[in-house]
Amino acid sequence: MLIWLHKYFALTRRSIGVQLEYRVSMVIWMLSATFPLIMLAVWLPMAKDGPVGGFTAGDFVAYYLLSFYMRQMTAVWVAWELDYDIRHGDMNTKLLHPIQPIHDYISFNLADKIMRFIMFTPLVIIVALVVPGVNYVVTPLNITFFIIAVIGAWTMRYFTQFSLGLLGFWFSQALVLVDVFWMLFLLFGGGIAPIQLLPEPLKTLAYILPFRFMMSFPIEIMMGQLTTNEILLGFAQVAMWIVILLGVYKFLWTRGIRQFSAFGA
Amino acid sequence: MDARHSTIQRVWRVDKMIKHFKLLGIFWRFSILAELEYRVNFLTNAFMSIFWLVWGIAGASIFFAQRDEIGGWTYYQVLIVLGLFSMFTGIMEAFFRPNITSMIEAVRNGTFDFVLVKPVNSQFYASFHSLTMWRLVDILAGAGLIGYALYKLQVVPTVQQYFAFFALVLIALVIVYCFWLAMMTMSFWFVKVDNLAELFYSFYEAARFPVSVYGTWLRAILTFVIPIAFITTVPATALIGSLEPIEMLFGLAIALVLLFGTNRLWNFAIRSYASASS
Amino acid sequence: MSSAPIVVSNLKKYYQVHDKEPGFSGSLKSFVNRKYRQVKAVDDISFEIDAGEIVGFLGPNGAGKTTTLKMLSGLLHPTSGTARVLGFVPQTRRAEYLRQMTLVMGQKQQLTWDLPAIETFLVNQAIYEIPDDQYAKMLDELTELLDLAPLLKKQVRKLSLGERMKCELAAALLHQPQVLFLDEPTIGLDVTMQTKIRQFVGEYNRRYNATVILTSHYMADVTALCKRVIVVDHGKLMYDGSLAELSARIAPHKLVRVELSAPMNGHNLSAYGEVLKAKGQSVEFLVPRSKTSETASRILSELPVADVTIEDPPIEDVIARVFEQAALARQDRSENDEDESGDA
Repeated sequence: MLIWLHKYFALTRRSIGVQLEYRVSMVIWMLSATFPLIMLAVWLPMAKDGPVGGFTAGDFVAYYLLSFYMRQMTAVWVAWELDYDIRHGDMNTKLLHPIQPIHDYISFNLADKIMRFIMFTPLVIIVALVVPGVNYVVTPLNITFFIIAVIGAWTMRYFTQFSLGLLGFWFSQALVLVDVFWMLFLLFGGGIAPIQLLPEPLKTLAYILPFRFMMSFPIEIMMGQLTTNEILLGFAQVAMWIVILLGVYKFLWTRGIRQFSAFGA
Repeated sequence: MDARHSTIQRVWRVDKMIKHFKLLGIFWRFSILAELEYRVNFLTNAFMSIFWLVWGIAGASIFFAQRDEIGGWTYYQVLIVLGLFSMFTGIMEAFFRPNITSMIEAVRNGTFDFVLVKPVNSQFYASFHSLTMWRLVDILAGAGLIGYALYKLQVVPTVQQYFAFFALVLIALVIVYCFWLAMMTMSFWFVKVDNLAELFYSFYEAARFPVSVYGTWLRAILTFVIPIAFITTVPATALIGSLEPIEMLFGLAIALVLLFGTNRLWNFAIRSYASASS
Repeated sequence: MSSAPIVVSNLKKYYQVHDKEPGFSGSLKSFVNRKYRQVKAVDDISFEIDAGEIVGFLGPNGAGKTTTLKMLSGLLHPTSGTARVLGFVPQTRRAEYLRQMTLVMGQKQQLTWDLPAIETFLVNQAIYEIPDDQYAKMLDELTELLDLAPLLKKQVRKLSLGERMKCELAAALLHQPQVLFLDEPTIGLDVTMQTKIRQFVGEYNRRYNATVILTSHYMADVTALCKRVIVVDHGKLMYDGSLAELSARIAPHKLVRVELSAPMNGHNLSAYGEVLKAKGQSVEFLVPRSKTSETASRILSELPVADVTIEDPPIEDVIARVFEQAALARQDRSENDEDESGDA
């Protein structure tokens, strides 16, 4: 266990080093997450004449502030890395290392998360304190729930994208599926608007599909829209989805590597 | 003597334009041939274009589920904006994206040198030598959506309105080109300009809606600082019939300034590329 | 002003590089404050090349060969000094100039991966505004000289490295350039293919009286094609002249190989010259050039000789010696003044 932690530490440290080398692009990526702000900018003038579907202007700010934060803290791009590595044969090098390649990929993402956590957490706290009408449920228990839900959301997004990326072993166009996934995630996960505001039948679908747990669910927790029972039920669902996604990942990985070593890149 | 000189110059220019049009034809034929190697791309791109359009309509309908009008625009009027948004996405993906991608690649591995040793205008070559034909589907889909919205609105634009519309689309094209040229120019200094394109797209998302839905400040920024208003909103007003003539002049001015400015930037970059790299 | 097609005088190219210390703290440091260092890639080089000459440009990696070629082809602006090629200042990149020169880089390719080479040729025809009849004629010639016929319609990605290089050369020469800059055109190719490329370059040079500057790691390329070589090291010009003279100047010795008819035990062989190798009945001496014939006759008369050959030492060794001497000279210099680098 200790050795394993040590390996992760070394990998992540290296990844932070790599990221610092690309300082300009790092800043650009972070600035690129303006989508929630644009959506907020559409709602705000509408909310001037009174609450929209129960959301006041302050609620919208609170919602999209966390939506922005969620996008930062659960950002995943591993499918593009996989696509590149499969195409250019870098996967071969990774397979030679005495550690499963997925850990290598995860370490890059963790390094990125550490940087973003340091940059954006204070920002979000300051905005929440300064802007009037932004109300979150800030109790130790609720914050704990939020953190668990964020980790759950990241895990779900990461393994979904990893599995979709692995399809690159079979189809050259696997990235298209990642785009489709991304758009469904925005629509049904609460990326465009809070899912409570979706028109039917989109709203019903949003509560059935897993996308809600990748963004909306942690925000709902922080905004106090859920009872403890609903939160715990949500966690159970998250756990179920993670088990399913891990199974899919394992399945695709073993098959994919076999395919890869049989035909090469 | 002066008169003769200018005539010669004009002839020379026409000559040059013909040469460049011919080159464009050869470049695009070349790109299309290369693309035909990957036939699956056509299906996936066509699928994505449609999916993407439906997604955009679904997104817009969320807002109209709560209100009948946003920023003074009705649902079908917003769909015209959305149609233009899709058309320009198609234009950028078909004409500009493949060039910026290959430019980044070429600067990174040094084959951009081959462009510079060729007797052809480097800005022209770098901007237009490549084309992703499949993305033209987006343009068709966007045009289809505009037609559908006009039908639903029961609006038949006049000839003058159509004329203004096409003139504004042309202005918008120039503005969009300048943005991409500026980004492309950045690849001389920064390694990962792909990210810059992402950044541009994230701002371009604002063009899904007419700028009047935003607050005063953001509207001003989207009109004067990052003139995204001129890409979708202003051409849409031409079809709906609420165009202010001053906007057209203003758009033209912005387009010309940008065209001049980005050309200067490009030339500067070429010079500094030549004095800095090894 | 000289009428030679290539005139280079006092050409210099300095540029800045930034270094990164290893490890996390190094990354952080270079994130906050990058340190720059000046590198003298080309440092005061002058030469002239006449029409129809093939000149070999020699030097170890990082000596400044490619930088010089890039300045001559207009890709780099010199820090100071001037270059004139065909009367043009290269970095102005006038179309009239670009139409008369070509640059081939063995490590980089201009052909499009997914399409047959002939498609890239057509694009080049348009760019260089080659009239149809001239294009057809030139394509025929190149096809014949390089055996391109079976390659032209195959996708470039399906060609072997050597076949690709042939097509690269053809793409670069369709417009019949007067001046050729060839940077490592044979790199990575097998020996037969190297020979073919070499022969082709020679043939092109003869047919069109083209001026060629060639860099290569393979001495065989240089000895086969170039009467004249220019040697650079650390940006400085070390030698400019004929290959033969270079051997004479740098290696003032000849190699004398002797096959003896009987083993020579106890005989003092070192009396004839420096003994490089003495194994059984074969001996190799290094003999000063001026004493070669005298020593040879002494060997013939005093030793039981079966066979004697006298030759120049291999050119690789000669070049290696140039760089060794240069390195020694540099060490001497840098002991005098240490201050070559600085922050910017």
